[in-house]
Amino acid sequence: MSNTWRSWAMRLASVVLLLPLIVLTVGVPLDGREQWQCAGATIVGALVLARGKSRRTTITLALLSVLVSTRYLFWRTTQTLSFGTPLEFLLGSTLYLAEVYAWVILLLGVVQTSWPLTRPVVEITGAPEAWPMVDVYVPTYNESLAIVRNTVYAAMDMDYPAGRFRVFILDDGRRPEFRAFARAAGCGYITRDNNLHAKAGNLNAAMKRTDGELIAIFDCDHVPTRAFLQLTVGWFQKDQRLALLQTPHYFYSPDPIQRNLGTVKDMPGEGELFYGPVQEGNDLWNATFFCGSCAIIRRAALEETNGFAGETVTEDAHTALKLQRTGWNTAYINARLSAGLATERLVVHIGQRVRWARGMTQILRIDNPLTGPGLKWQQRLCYLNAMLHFQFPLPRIVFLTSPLAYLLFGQNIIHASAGQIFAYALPHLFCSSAASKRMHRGDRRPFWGEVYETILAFHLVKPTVMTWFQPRKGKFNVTDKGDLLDQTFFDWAIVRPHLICIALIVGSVLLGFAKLLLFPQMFNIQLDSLVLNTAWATFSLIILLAAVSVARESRQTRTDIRIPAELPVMIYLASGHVVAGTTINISMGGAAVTLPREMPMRDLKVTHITLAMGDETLAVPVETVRSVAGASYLRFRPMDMTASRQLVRAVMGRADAWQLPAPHPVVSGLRSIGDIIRVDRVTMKRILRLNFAERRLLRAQRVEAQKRAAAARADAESTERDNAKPGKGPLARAAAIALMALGLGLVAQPRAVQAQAQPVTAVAGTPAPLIDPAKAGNGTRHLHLSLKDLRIKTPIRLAGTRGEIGIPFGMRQSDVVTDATLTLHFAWSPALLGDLSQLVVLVNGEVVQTVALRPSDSGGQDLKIAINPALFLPGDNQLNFRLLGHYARDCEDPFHSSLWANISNTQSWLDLTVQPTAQALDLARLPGPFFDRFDNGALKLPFVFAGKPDHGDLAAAASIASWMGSLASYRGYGFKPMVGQLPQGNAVVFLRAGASLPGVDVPVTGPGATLVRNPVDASGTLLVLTGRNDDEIRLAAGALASGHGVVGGAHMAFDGARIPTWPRYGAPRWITTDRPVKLGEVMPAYALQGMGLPPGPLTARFRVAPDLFFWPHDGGSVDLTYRYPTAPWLDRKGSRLDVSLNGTYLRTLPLTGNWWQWLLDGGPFGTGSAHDSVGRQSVVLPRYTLFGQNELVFDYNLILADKKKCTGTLPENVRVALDPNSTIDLTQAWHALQMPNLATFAGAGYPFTVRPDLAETTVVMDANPSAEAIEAFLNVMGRMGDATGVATTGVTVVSEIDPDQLHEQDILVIGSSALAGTEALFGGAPVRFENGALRVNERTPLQYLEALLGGSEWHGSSDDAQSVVYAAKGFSGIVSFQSPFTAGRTVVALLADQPATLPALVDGLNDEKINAQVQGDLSVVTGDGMTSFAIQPQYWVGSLPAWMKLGYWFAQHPLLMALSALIVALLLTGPVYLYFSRQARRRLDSAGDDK
Amino acid sequence: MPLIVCHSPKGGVGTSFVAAGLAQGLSLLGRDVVALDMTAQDGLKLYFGLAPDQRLPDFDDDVIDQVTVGGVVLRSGWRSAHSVDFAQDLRTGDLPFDGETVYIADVASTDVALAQILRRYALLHICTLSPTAMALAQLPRISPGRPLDALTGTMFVLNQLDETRRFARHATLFLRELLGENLVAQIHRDEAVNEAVGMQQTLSRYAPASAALIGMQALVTLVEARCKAGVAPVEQPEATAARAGKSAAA
Repeated sequence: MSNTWRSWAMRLASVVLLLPLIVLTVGVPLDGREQWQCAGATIVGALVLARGKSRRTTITLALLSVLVSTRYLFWRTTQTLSFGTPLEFLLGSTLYLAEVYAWVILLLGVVQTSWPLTRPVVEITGAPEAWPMVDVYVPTYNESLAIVRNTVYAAMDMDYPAGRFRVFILDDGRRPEFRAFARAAGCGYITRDNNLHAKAGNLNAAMKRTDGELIAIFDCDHVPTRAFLQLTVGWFQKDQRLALLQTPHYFYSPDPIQRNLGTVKDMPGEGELFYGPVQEGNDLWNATFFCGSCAIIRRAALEETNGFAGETVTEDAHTALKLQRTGWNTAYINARLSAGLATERLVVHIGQRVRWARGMTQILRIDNPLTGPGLKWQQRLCYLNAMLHFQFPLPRIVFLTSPLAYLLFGQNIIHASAGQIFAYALPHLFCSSAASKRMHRGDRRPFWGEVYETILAFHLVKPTVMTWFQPRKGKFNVTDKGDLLDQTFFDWAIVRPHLICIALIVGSVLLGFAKLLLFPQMFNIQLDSLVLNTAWATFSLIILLAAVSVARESRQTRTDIRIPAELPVMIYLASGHVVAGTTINISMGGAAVTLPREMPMRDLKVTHITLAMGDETLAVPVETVRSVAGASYLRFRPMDMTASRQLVRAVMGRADAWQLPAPHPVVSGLRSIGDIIRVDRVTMKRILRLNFAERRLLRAQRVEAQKRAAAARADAESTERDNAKPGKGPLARAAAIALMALGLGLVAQPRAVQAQAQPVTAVAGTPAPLIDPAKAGNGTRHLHLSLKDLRIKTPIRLAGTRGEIGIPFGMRQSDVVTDATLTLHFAWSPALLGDLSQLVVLVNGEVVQTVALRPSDSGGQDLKIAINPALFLPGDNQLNFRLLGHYARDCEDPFHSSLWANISNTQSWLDLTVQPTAQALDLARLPGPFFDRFDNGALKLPFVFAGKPDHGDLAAAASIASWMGSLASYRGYGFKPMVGQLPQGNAVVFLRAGASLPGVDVPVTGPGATLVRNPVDASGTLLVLTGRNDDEIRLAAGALASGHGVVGGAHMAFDGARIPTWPRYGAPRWITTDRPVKLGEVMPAYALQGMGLPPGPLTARFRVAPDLFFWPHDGGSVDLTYRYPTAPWLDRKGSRLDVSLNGTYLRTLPLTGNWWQWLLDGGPFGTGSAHDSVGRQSVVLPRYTLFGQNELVFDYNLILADKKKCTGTLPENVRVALDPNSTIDLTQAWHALQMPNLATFAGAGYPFTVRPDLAETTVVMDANPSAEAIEAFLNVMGRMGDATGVATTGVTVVSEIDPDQLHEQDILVIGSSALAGTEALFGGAPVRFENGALRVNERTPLQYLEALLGGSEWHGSSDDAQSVVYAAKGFSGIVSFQSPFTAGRTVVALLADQPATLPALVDGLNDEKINAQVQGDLSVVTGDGMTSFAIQPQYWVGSLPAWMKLGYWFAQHPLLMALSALIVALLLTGPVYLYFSRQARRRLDSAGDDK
Repeated sequence: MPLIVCHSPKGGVGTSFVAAGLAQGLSLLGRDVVALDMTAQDGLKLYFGLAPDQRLPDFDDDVIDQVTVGGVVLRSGWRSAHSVDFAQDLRTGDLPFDGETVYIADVASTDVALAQILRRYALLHICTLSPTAMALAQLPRISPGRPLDALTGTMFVLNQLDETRRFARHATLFLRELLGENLVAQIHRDEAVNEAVGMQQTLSRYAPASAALIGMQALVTLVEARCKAGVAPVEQPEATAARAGKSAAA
């Protein structure tokens, strides 16, 4: 009792241990290089394992192959099923289904053949007179008597008590000569008056006429040995529930494959796999099924199931299934106790397999083994495997032809790179072939299974598919055997589909290379994919050619099959001499015998040979056909019935006649494929007619045959000639097919030219436009706006006959322009014709000036252009430069390289004088006048505190600063704190009860906001925020910043205002990962339109949470729909749409339309009409190029066709568009990040901005913060607001370290380095404050270990960091580490020895270059940049489940992955071995009854 | 002093051929063998490839020049065997049947008396038969009153077997049934035997592949085994001898 409990506990424990390992090994995807490592390690592991020869290793290998293959399939399922076109979907999913099928078959095969049961023979017990009565049935329908006769003789000669068995011929052909023979031979003869249900009916009819306890069934060509009954009947006595005992069908004649592929020696027959490991494996699970012959069945069992099943054309398997459903057992003895004739010709062989395939499919449909009563699951699986096996035709064809998808149609049907496919498929293929080599032993050589299947595949498609839908149709067809072939000929008809397939593959491989080498501009062919597909296609070709080779039917003239057997014989010579010899081979019609070497061979004539047959001796009169040194070839003279019967017994009846002397040697995969290639080579030679020697031989044979035929019959001649010339006609046909394939491929899809990436770098920068600080008396200001200030980052280059650029800029709503001058510094091509070429300057669409571009001035010109100030509007404005350039008077290339003009972006500027207009003080106009979105410059807004700011003031100021920061965003901003004094211009004032500012007369009665004129500057406005305590002033600021409760007027009170809270990751500027986001949501619709030639790049800017964790996916994706015009002027091949993300080129999308569209337009000859084209593509946004802020650039590159020919004019107003319904899909991402990672802080304020209002953030500052620290704080808050678009209304400011308060908080420290002296907070930091300076902490050994296991990447050692920290005169930098108060929370500290440098540190983050240098957990200002280090171990932040973390960790350790696969396989081996061996014992011990 | 008597109740079945073959076979196995031709025909030597006019020294002569063929010493025993005191000499052990040497005596079928005397002292009696009706008819005379398959000192050899003949095949079956274990060898009829004598060569030299040699080989092997076992001659009581024979066979 306790024992079982313990074993259950053990099992549970092992499952708990192993299951995660299994899930990890199967499920964790790896990137290319890691997967290669894993693949290599797995293969090495399998190789090492394969050195062991025990049964255990076989099981380990099988388990390993299951694991690795499941991993492959999992990868295929989860990562590679993404299709771009309907055709890709069709072909790709077909291939996928085929692979699923192969995987299922692999699993079933492991269950079935891992442990072939070796069933011994048991002796028959009891007195011979009491042995079971056996009826031996020999059913026949149309076979010749010569064949049936041998079987009957042998059956009657079986060693079994004479009275205990009877032999019956069941003649469905109702032939009188059979009746006569039966009477003469003394056996029974049973016939019936109809042929209903074919063989099953025949057997059932006979059952009613006999009454033996057991029924042995032999097809009329299966000759039993004498020992058959003695070796089999015993099991029926031992197991009373045994219904069926099957023995192998052994064929003593070669099957068509063995015979026609004479090149390969000692090949095991096709059936030996089935009659070896498969049926033995079935026997282990009590699922051996009846094969129609060479078996014994218990009558009692059959009577229970109403006899043999007649519903299907494979009555045998179905009968067994029915028997097993009623609870009877079946068994298998793998001893060759009978022998038969294999099918003679390929066409017959295929016919037979068609019947089997149909029958098995019928059973699958009519009487599915998975359902229905009476079976154990193992039995169900074994039967299922047998039936599913015959569903191989479609998958096999798919495997053979899959490379066509890429080579012919250019379709990528596996959504992965070629390298990745190799890396995943290689271990899967290797391990499964290694395992099957072990399980199939020498009975099936590697790769021959593929050849066998390929031979049949095309012919079996129709029967399997049709039967699948109409399972009850079709009738029984009898397999013909024992045909003669008097001619070697090639059966072209039977392999026509194979030949077509070969032609297609060869054609498409050639086409693939032609595409790559000759037309690279038309087709998007990648070399690695081409190599992969070519390798695959080559393998297909090797297999197909081998299959085709079988169709060459070699001559078969002997009536009787010679059996290689070494029997001792006495040879009687005509000379009276008698010598002993042995047979080399023997048949029912003759023999070859060895003669002593020293015998004179001249005139040697043998008259008799005698064969010892136990007691008796059989003397056979012979005539000598020919004798060579040491051997004589003899033909038997006609014999009487007794002698023939004896001969049958001597030749075929011997008990050990067919036993294999030793198991087939296991052949290595390399040798096997070498054999196949050799077969291919011979066939190639034959097809190319290079087989001279062979043809000579054939001709000789033909002549001989013709002679014989002429002598025999006159009409034979005509048939001779038909077969005389094989090859030529079909060869021509094959060539035609190949040509056709080539032609087809050539018109296949012309893909877009793969253009070089055009990296488009345009990241939001930090422009520093200047505002003239000098102020005119009445508030008049001068603005000096260079083009660079207007965000033109590079000099403008105008090209073509019509180049144009539009520069948008804004004017404050409150300003009026009173004077404006444009200064231009520009140069142009001296090749331009002065009288025709102009530069037109426009403001808001009005022409300001037209400059004639004369060659004499082309070197460069400074031009001052006065602009009518009335042209400037408040709000949006646009400045345009248009180049009209001509270098020739008549025909010219509109994009000629000499057509250019350059305008400097730094030396060209607008000088504006603006006058502010008086504005009413109205809170409703906020953020004006403090911020105007049409302002081109940075926002400078001083924050005024009446007294020393305390925490509430700072928090309130943070709200306003972040609000303003979010508004000013890329324009830049600066918030200078002032205490007790007012600045010029606008300012924000924080006024607490009891404090006052001179000139500001606002009563403090509660939370409120008031606008007042600046007492020190009449044109300035003050926003006064009031509150009696911390909470009130925070409320006032928060309400204002979040825009809640603001109505209008100069004063507002915010009593009871509610400030909205924000969920995690709720930042409105971050696009959501809950659903795909439409481009139209991210960008205004007009920004998705482009105009002109070229239309220029369209840019989509979006921000995402910086902690998106895409693994195991590659990243997000853009499902893009894009439109463009298609007309004859468009060069389809050259035009393209380049997509890049953050300056990294991603992909080029074609602007070609589809090739069928192109064909519809009339192809190369049609004129084509103008219409719009829509492209749909999915572009992956790789995870490593996605940052907090992203810029997705779509660069339409429309190229003109025939631009050199002056035919027609340039198209006007060409427009392109991105569909606003295109989506950015980031839904596959988790929120997770390994921290500390200062890059995300620098980029997006992470992790504080996870709650956009910073509700989970506590800022730690000095109790008396310096002005610079406050400025840094405010600017940081501005950055936060900019990152999220939300005011930081939830932030808490403290100066004391209170663990309770800091629990569950992300902590931002801003201030002097001395803050790092607080041990409570900085205990785990990478730096500590010591003796007035920062020191970098050494890593502890524990941290080393953690880092090693955690896979942290370290940049530089702590020593390096220490030296940098020392070298920096006065430390200034950022430190990040895990919060000591809550795991998974982060501390970021902005520290400086001199707090005065803090604002510079924060400003530095605005610089794109410096920002990029901030990473790791320690970033130090050095010189003009920052240097970063990663010192501390990393920790996870975010919501990643533990199993994902584990998986991710595993993915970083590919060798460990391979090791874990091996470990799992090894660990599982024990229990599986035990399970199998127990089952085997149970099957053999307890009389086969495993209940 | 193993003495092996080759004697058949039917003449012309090839007793001398078997005796010669046995002698040559044992000699090849390294035994000292003396072949005694005790027939008046003096034909044994022909199977050793000797000419008909070659005279063999007498059994009890002391000669220096032995006639030796392939290690087998050939002696004629006809004269001494028919001397008056031959039986007496045998009984007293005066006859020099030395310890290690194997004596093979070829006795004519008609010389039944001699055969009986010799068998008393012999290790073994080899009785050659042929698959002919006449030979079968002689069987009862071999050991009247005792079943043939129970004889311990007699081995039967079927010579001149031609399995292409139905009677021969059936006779073989019959003999196998009748003699059981005691039918130790079947020697095929082969024209080469005849030709070898004609060519004055031994058979193994003339036709090494001859089927007749195969059966002979089987006989030699069995006899050699019996010699090694060294069973005492027939003088012992029958029962003991039978048991000894069986253990030797085992």
